[in-house]
Amino acid sequence: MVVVSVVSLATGYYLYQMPPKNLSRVKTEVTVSADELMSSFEDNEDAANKVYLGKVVEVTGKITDVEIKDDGSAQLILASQSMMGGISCNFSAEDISEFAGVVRKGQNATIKGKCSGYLMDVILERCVVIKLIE
Amino acid sequence: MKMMIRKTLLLGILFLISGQLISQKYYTRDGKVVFESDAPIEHIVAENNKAICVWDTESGAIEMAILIKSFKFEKALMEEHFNENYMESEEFPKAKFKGLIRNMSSVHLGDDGAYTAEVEGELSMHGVTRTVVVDANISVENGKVQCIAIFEIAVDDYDIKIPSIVRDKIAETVKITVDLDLNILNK
Repeated sequence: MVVVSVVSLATGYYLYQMPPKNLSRVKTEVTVSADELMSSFEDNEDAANKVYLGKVVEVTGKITDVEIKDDGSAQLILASQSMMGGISCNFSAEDISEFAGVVRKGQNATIKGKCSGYLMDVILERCVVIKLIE
Repeated sequence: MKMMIRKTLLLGILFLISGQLISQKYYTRDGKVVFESDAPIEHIVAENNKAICVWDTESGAIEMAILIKSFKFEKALMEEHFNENYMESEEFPKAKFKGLIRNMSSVHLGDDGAYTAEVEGELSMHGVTRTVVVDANISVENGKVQCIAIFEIAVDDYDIKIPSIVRDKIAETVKITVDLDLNILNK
């Protein structure tokens, strides 16, 4: 009894201390093109939120901007047909490190990230690169 | 008569052009918003780096928006509870602020220096809208505009219920720090 409760308390504490999971080991819930993702938010944000909000999304599109910040974290923008914005893919320093030297404007990329919604861009957090094509 | 019409027209056009020159907008789409809860048992910090803000320096109007799900926590469970139990971010995905700089005439973003901007506006989140008044510290250095505002909000004001069992872990009043590097918006 005592052992069981000690073990369960320890497990509970351990689970509580867990940092957020790296998405490369999390299953993709929706696969979509950058264009389609952007236009669904532009056409009807509420409906798009129901499909994408909080979901792990795999997006493919052309990279139009690469920004590596001082702390090593990065933002890649995937193009869309929209004048106003694109898909903003945000990476921690750790998750971009492998690609920081090779990622460039004009490449096609498939990126997995968690969708937090739409402001001017559609925003994906905790991104990881799945594929880069010249 | 013809002459007068011409003059009026010319004046009108000049006025429009100068108006456009004065009416300048500053913006960011990578603003930082930090949320901090300091309770007896647990200190919780979360950071959001995707705030958007547009500031019209002629009218003094300022607008901001953030996505609740863009707040990053150190622990996965904290992030889950924040989104699911407290902010209910599936239903209320954004927080918005719409306000006015009351002393715009004494804030000169074109000149290097430090200014205090008195901001007043409506903050909406979790389905509740309330008036917020806060002083923002503006610094302009080599044309770069940085805007920092720190204020506190009572979670109860926004209809966010904290169960008594976690009262020692989550503060009733949380500190919000807004930190924006603003650039001139090219039309």
